[in-house]
Amino acid sequence: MKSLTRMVLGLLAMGVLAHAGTVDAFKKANADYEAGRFAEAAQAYEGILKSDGPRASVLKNLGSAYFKAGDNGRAILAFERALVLSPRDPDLLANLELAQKQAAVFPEENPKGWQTVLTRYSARRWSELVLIAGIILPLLAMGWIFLPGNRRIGLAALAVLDLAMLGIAIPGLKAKTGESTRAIVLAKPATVRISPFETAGDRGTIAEGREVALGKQSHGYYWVSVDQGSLQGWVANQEIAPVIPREN
Amino acid sequence: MKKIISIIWLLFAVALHATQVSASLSKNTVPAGQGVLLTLNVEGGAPESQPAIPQVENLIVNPHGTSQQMQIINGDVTRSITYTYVVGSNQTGDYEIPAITVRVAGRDYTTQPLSLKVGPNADKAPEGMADDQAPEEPGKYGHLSFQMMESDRKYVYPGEIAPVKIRAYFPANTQVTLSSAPHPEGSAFTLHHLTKEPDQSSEIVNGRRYMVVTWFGGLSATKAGKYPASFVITGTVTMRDESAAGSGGRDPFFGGFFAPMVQKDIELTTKEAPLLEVKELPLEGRPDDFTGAIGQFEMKSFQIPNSLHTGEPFQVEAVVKGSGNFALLSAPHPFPVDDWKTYEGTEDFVPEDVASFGGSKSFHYNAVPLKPGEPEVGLRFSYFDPEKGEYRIVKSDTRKIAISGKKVQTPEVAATPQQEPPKPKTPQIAPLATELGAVQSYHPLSDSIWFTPVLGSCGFLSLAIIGFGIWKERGSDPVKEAARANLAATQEAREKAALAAANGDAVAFFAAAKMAVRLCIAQRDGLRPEAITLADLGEHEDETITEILVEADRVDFSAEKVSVENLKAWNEKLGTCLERLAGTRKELAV
Repeated sequence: MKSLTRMVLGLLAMGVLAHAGTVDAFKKANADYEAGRFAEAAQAYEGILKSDGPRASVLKNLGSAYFKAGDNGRAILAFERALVLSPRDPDLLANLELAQKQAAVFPEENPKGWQTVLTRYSARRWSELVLIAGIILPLLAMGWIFLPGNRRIGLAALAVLDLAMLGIAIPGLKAKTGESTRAIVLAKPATVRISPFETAGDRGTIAEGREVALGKQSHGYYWVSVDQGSLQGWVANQEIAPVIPREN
Repeated sequence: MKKIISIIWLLFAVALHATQVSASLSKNTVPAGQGVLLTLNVEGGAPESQPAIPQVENLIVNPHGTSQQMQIINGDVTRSITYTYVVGSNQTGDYEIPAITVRVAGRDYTTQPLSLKVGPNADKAPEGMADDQAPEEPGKYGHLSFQMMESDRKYVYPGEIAPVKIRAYFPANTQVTLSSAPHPEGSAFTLHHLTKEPDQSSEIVNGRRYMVVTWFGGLSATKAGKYPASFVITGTVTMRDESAAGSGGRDPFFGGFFAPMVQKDIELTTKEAPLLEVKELPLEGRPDDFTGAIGQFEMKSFQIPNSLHTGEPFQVEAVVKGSGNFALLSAPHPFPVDDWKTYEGTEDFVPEDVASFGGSKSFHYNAVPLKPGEPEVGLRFSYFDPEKGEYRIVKSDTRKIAISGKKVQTPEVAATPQQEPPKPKTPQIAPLATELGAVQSYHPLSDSIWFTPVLGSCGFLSLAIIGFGIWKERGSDPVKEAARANLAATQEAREKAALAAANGDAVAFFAAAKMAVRLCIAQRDGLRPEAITLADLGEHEDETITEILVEADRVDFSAEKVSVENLKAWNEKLGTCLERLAGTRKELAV
């Protein structure tokens, strides 16, 4: 028992120390940025992301560092990734718009009407809401059986709210399904080839920072499509990056 | 009968005839880029499948046709099939076509090998060939043309979206499937807002009819310099290979009709791509509030309240109309600049053409007056006019606005009182995040393998619980139970009454009859049977009911004897009365 307690305490201490280390690294990266050392700051932010996992705050600062360093493609990618985690952050939306303008990439129209509701939360948040609403349903059903009749009105109101939550969260989650195929061009510009190898003929180029739709992957190349298929072909992996990183 | 014997004999004779296979070339030498005719003749039988010509490196072989002949001379039947091919090469050299094997009636027959010498002087494609490597006449499959909408424009500015027209010309007798929309060949230009449904028309150019597909879009450039405005489009063309029908010795009239259909992946590029100059935007005269808008814009309308109070925000509405890169056009801001603080707002663009080049953009944002007074207030914005090559500042009409209150200083103004007055906001990168925040995940829970089963189980469990609840409620419904008990008690009372009537026991009969009537009324009106009295029954009640209850009370109090016949008559009345009360309760009828 004592050894288990020691182990748990040891793990907790390690967690606290690791977090403190990350906070220090984050502060140092911010200091680099404030001092105008944007490349160093970007490298430090990348290191935090690699060691700890994605955070909207780190991605936001990473995008800002790349933007200041003149790397608009990577700046747009970082802001897009941050927006996956925090879709309605006004700072992120403004930064992305600025980086897109800087890269002469004209942003898509803002969502309107029902779409504004669906884009309000991240896919993760929508999936959590779907799960919570789904788990609440059988609990409400059990309450309906065991509670006396006079308390069932409140239960019915809760059930309506729960079903409404499901009714919004499922389309919200579905609206995010396309995120996994989005990618941003990092090269200045990326070359679209007719076949997935270096000596294959080119079909055209895609400017830095532009968004493409990813298809299958073959021999170190992605099949991409731009502007609803007006230009399609193969682009080398290193010239683009998926908005949601893929595990290789 | 004679005819049948003749046919059998004929077939037998054909089958017995010896099979011969031969191959020959129309010429043994040919210039590179031209073709000769290879004839493969099969006599005395039919090949089981199309003969295959062995592959020879750099030698192009294209099937050209098949013909059959049958001759009967002095009873001797000869049947022959002739396959023709066009053979040639773009590379000089001595070529040997190996023996060709043909399978006839389960047996292989081979020809002699053939030799072909391909000499120099190749200035055109081999006759009758539709091979990818063969050189093609320019524009055979069509071409692209590019045109600025302002035809005399030979320049664009970085960031500008200049309206352009791109046209693809395809020969009229072709079928075209496009695999891409037009896009720039290099990285100097990009196309925006290309029309998704291009116009289609027919035109005659140099005496040849073309199918013309026209796109409209906006051209923008990212860096200064001179670049060819060359575009490319890819697709597949299906057309008749007329050259295959035109080989020596064949009918020129029917040649086109019988020419084989060929399908070819094509890549059309701009014919005589014009050189466009991408000019740098001039630094001279650049307004402070210029945000990159290039085109022709004008203020359509704006709204500001007539009376304001310092420090209190109000909403500004403005609509700008024109044509150009609306994406870089920022909201018009109030002037004098240093008297106002403005905030980011919303923008809404309404396009007026298919390429989203012209249109109007409405802006809504909040502003706060900083100084009291009655200033002449208007809105202003700036843009670059690409035709004149100069910046323009657009100012709206001014209005006198009453601003009450005291002078307000924004934190920025207060912190830097000696500096220049604040300029209208140009977009700046947002401040850095200082809080680290929690580690998150890009992937939704729905990506996990357990998500769907868990959610499905919850749904199934809910349905199962609800089903169980309904079943349980149905079994223990007090209303239904009371109804069942009432029915049973009524039935019992009715039976007692019938028995008492048969025995001539008037007191027992009327007591049971009274109970049966009370039970039925109680069930109908939702009352307790004991609570029902004669006085409670309304005027609308059935007379028989009242009659039975009155008689029951009278017999109960008087203990009068009633004859069996009379009791049976009362019993019938009771039955009719109860049936009426019970309505659909057929089971009450005795």
